[in-house]
Amino acid sequence: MNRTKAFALSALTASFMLAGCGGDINLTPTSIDNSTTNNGGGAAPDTNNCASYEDAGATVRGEKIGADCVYPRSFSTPESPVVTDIRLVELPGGAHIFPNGLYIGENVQETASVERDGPTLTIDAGATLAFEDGDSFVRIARGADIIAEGNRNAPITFTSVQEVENGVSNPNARGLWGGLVINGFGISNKCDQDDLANCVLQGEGGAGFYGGDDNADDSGILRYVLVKYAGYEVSLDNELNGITFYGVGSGTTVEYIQVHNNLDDGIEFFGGAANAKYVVLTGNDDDSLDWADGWQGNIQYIVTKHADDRANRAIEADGNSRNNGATPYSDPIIANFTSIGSLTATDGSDESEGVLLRQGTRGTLYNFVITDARGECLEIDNDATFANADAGNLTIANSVIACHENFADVATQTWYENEATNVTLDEMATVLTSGYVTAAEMTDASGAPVTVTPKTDLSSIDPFFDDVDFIGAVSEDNDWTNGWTVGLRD
Amino acid sequence: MKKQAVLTQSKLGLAIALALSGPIAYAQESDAQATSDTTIEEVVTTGTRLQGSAAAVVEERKAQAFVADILGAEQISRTGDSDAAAALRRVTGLTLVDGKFIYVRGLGERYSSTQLNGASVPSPDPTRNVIPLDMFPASIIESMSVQKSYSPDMPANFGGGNVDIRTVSIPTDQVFDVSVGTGWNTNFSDDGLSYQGGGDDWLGKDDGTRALSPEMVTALARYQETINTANIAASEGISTAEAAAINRQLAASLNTENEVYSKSLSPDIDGSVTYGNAYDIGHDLTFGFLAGVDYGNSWSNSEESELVLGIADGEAAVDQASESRVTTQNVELSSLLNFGLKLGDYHRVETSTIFLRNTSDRVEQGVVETPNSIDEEGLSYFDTDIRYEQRELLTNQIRGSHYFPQFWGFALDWQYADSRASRDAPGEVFYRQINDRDLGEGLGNLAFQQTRTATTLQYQILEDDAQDWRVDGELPLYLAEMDILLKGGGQVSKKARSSFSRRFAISAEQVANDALQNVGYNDLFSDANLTDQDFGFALFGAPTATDPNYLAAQQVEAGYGLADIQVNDDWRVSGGLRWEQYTQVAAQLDLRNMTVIGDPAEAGRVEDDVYGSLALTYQLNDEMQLRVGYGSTVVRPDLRELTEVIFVDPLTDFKVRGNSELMTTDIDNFDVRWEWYLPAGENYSVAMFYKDLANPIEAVEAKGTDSDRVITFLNGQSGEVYGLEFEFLKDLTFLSDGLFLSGNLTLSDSEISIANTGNVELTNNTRRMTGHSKYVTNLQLGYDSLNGEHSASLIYNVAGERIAFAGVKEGAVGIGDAVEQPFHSLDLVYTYYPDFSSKVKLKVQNMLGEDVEIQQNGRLIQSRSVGTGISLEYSYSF
Repeated sequence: MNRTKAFALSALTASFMLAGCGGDINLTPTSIDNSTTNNGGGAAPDTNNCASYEDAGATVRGEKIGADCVYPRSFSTPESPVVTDIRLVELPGGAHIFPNGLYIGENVQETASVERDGPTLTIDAGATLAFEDGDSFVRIARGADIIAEGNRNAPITFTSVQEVENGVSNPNARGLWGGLVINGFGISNKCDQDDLANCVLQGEGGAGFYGGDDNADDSGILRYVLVKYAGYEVSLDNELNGITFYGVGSGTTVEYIQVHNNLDDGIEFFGGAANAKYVVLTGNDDDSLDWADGWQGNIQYIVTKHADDRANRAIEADGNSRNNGATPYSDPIIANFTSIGSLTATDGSDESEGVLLRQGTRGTLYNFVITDARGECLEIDNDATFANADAGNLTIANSVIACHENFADVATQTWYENEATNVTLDEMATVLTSGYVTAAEMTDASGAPVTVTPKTDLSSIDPFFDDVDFIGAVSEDNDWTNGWTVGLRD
Repeated sequence: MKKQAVLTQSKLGLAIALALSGPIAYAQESDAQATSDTTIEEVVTTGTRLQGSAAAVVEERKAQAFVADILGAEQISRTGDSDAAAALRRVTGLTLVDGKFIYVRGLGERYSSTQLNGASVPSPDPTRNVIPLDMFPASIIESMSVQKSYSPDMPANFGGGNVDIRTVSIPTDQVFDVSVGTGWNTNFSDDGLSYQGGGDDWLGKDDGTRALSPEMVTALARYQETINTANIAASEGISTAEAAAINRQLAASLNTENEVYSKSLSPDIDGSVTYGNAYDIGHDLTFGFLAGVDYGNSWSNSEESELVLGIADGEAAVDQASESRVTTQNVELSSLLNFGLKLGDYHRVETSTIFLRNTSDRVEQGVVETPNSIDEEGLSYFDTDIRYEQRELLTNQIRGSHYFPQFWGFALDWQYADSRASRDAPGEVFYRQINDRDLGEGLGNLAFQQTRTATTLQYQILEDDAQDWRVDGELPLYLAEMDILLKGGGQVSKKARSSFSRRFAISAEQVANDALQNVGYNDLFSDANLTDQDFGFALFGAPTATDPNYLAAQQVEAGYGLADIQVNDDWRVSGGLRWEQYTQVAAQLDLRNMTVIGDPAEAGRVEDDVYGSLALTYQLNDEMQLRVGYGSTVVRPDLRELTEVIFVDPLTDFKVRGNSELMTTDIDNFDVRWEWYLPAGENYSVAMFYKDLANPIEAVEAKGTDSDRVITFLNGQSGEVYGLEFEFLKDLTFLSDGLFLSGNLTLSDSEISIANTGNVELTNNTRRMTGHSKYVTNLQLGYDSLNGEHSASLIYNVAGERIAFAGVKEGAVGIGDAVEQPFHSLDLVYTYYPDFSSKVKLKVQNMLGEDVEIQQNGRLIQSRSVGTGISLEYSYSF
């Protein structure tokens, strides 16, 4: 334990000096720190491979303590972010520790004034980034990029300092730090659609500014990235999602990502058109996948699994909760989704549920497997959403639903069952093996075989998609979750 | 002849009266008589009280070079208003908002400034510079001067008007008054809400029950403000289990006896004692003093409902709804100690020490449908919100007034004031329970939430210090055809503020669901449960960047000169210039290490400019005069409004983001007024006003994600306010002896233009200004019996509808502006004087039983019941 800090701030005093002449006001916050800082581990090793940047001729760099790189609080703050490219290398047996979060790129309000070619955060495969609780999160501002390219054998991990120092023994631990926030120039239906180039929105809490007119915006690459134990309330009533995509555009590459044990949602898209492939969302307290405000992206291969203690929905899909008719409507295409609920979990007021489509969302859903939830597995809410469903702008096909309470109401059931390729079973049916892999041979409650025809020619809808011959996220032939994910096989 | 106020008038008013009236001694004498309400009340028992008080008001007003309204103690007593805010709504063109702030001619509270005996005052309000006027009980007020046209001896930060509260002054003889009273409201019933609280609550003071425990204070210092288990473990180098035990002890050290229960409310009580005297101590020296204490304990109990509108199918639809009961206990404690030393008629020095405490303990409990539950059948939330707020103001003033007849009649006034306002809000408590019935169906099974924030406890403290120095000198010049009064002076005002907030949450994430069902707060959050490691509670608390932790300071240095010229008896010209340098800075703080977040320079301002005014008075005849005036003034951004760092408004919980590019508002003010003063106190006046505002500042809602309401500030392109004011006082003796009717009416309109930005999209870009009413009227029917034993007033007040907050667009469809509806207030005050020494006063307030209502898109989105209040007071003068 070499980061011990036994601070004794004997008094918090704020003193003012109002100098009489010239109208000067000197604002002097003072704290009396009569403690000793104990750095235990002592001498820095010869080679410091911590990230650094130049600021006014001085080098700002993390401190090498053991195998870790510990960065000072002044390394970056929401108001004084890193504005040059930095690189975080793999630290074998160690982590990059950012006590107060990591903020990349200036958070500029005026959309036209944002530096489009902002700094890039590069994270090497195998690197671990660790954060403390309190208001500590990662923010990639508009114009800035994140290049986090891990691989199956060396994924990149964003986690709590608690995990890297002591390990996390409680399997239900959540909310130990903030989360990852990416802000882009994508389109939101909260904006004036005639003046998108100037639109700017405020993210939750201190998440920064986002929005604009560019759904093709590129915020970088997330590949083999895990975000664990996040979701701390970073400002009043704002628990962060594991990864929040604020207006992130389709130029961004998101593949092989996992959010595990987040206190709020797993991932959430606010507008924009980010796509994602190979997504694992486990143990998240609220909704696993959430979208709102006109998101236009695609996702293929996504598995959500609720923990036994706490969860709400697998998908919570909104058009625009303050105006159901706002355009552009949220309208993603999602293929190969597996939703594994929990028969015991609640989120404190609501139960573990499946897919909720509401507030005027549209969308095209193929090859879904929805099972095991305690509450309803499929629900459409709000007149505007039903209107979209009736008009064929919100569809689900080639899917199977196997729950204790499959549908919230008759209208939802009718919508689902009117599509001939959909199959309805119950909680006694077998649709998965190994807990998360689509069963090659599904059976109903009586043990009789059931066939669900997959939508195969997905690439013809959008070249983003692979053609497949199975429904659900993971087939028995190819377990892409193997080797880099956590919590799925528990 | 016991009471005689001599030092009542403002120095300016006095000085101008002197210049106009020739011989000094005569002027002072006549002035003292004219302004001495109480003298007239006692002595002129055959005359009407109306005429006594009116005479004082009229005299000062007539003599002012600039248009001003004076509200005397007698008039305040007559309308039965209990504090400065309530009394001021009787003044022409003034409206009362939130019971605390005065809108002058429809301009928001930022456009009115307040002075206490001519000195600037700090404010205990956590988001505003301007002091809430409900802080000042009527008992300490001698008079209030509302100046609606600018003169250069006042701060240039002047929009609609300046309120100068003048406190009661030294008597010339012994004064010993005692009063006791009680009150009751039709809303009082056995369903008032209360909770454990502290032992000294009756004094408006927390006895330490709510405050942060000593253990917690130590822990906050030791763990750098973060008392989460993980941080304790890391700081101490101990195991998580050991740290969790410390964390649980800290949770138990906080006050968690916050269970709310119903109780029947006891009647209001209040009482006051005032004692003063004056002594002739030889050598032409007179020493006097006045001491007073005033105490009041009152309740309000109302039902409130609220809707938040969104849009569905292109039309307004309900996103959120709530119905709640709110019980508030208000304790007011004020004391005042004044000393005065007078040398002859020409020199005097006075000190005033004023302490005001106004504590409100507000408990709100009710059912809420959130966007999540509103479409779910059999699900709503039962919320409890306890807000305890102790506001105090302590001010020490010393001032002197000197007249030197041997030096051409030069007069010198000086003043120094040192004040501290504070707001202590310990133990603000919130908890939410799940209710398995919908809104309107009552309470079913209640369950605390198995969340990180099963209950939250918040502790806020704010201190605002002010120092104010001013010197004014006057020199009269008598020329053949004209009398000239030259006046000049300087003022330095400094204010420094610190605000700190801490918030803790008790997490029930690991508590078994069964333990959270149908359980009382005190049983659930008992020390036994909090410290039991198997029960599962944990305490969370760490500073976040948006907490209202900040320092701010403001300094104004000013110098002015003006001339007041009387030409013959017909014309009077007053005008002058004022130079001001203004400096302001604010800095958001990270409590952990007391470092500044963001760049305070961006939230800093240094500006200097010259402002001025010119007023022309033409005496049409002995009874009528016509005035024309122009003033150039400024309204500056408030303390926090330049800071880009988001912070949480402690009152609304909205997130507030300042705008570092905010410009000051320059205002051109034009006034014309015709006045007709008849004998016996009858008078009439008609005024026209026009104000042109460049870059008016408005608070608007910014676009953000749904769970957040972000408020920011913008400069509008232009703003203007204009209107007509009528005032009259009519003797109705021809109907019945002692009957009179007085009143005022303001008809006005305003327009503000604010362009949309990429972040703010208003439904109406051009509209009336927020808070502006098209009409405001006051009517008072008064009666004073000829034998002097009875006095009664029936008082009516109403302000036309006004925008409470501006609607914004959501995806091309806009929600309309929210409009507060007119509140017809009808009060009755009756006073009986059984003998010269005693007085019995009966008040009935809100006789029409009106409710406060706000509408948006034709729907009632907020309502609050007020009830009818009845109170009785007995006072005795020894």
